[in-house]
Amino acid sequence: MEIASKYQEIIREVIKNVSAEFTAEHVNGEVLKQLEKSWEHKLLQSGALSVNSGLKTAPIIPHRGDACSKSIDEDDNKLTTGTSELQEVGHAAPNPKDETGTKRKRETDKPAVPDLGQDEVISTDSEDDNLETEPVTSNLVLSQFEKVGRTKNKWKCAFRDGVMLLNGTEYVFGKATAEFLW
Amino acid sequence: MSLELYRRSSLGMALTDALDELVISGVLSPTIAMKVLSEFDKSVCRSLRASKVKASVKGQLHTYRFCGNVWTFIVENAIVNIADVDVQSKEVRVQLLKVVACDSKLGDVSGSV
Repeated sequence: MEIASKYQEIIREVIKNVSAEFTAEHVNGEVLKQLEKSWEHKLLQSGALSVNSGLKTAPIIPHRGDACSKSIDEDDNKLTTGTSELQEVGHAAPNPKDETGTKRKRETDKPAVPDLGQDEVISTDSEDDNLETEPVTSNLVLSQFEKVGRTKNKWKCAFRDGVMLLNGTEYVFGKATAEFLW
Repeated sequence: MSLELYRRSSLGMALTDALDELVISGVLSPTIAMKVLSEFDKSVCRSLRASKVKASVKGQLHTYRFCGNVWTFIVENAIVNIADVDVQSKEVRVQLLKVVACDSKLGDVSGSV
């Protein structure tokens, strides 16, 4: 499945699943809509979904947060509303991460990867890398290992359920194998 | 309890940023923001589990580390092959690649899948 539609699905699902929580906590319904919109917007801004990878086939559907627990399909007729903004943003420069003072300091103290004209790069390093001198890269695979083995200088690994950010574009996989030479 | 690893994906970062803004502007409590994130953890794990895409990675290992049940590999000159069902497979080359992998058993224990 296209990553754009897959991500769309996750966004919808999360928003749907927290809507009861929001109601219970007496959070204004507008806030949930705002969250969804801002989430989608930031995702597009990140440029991780490459422009030609299904933005047209999987436009963001502006469904209403409160009602979405009922049915998402009902909103199909609103497709067009979201499309124009989507394409606009989709063509914007990739990776303008805005500084929102994330609590986790993922993006601080890093020698930026050569990336002209941008203050920040999607940093991919865990907190503890600050202590080490390890090459910094924004190419990142997040996954789960099933097997990691080594024979002499050959490493073989089996991974599953992964998200990869490669050259600024994101990919997902269900299974992966890896062979490394040390 | 479910893996928080995927919060570092573009999708997770976008959500974290969006939540941060709402918390900072005072319209959302940190508690409910954390709940959204844990809901995200579950959804993303489920979604990835359903993925039919297969990938392979090859390259020169620069660093390896196993710490806290997490493997970290830094791979040089990596060639990543991505094969989706009925889509032509795609090859991506990157000079440097960082692989972070949690124990898949932890994902199972979580019961989130």
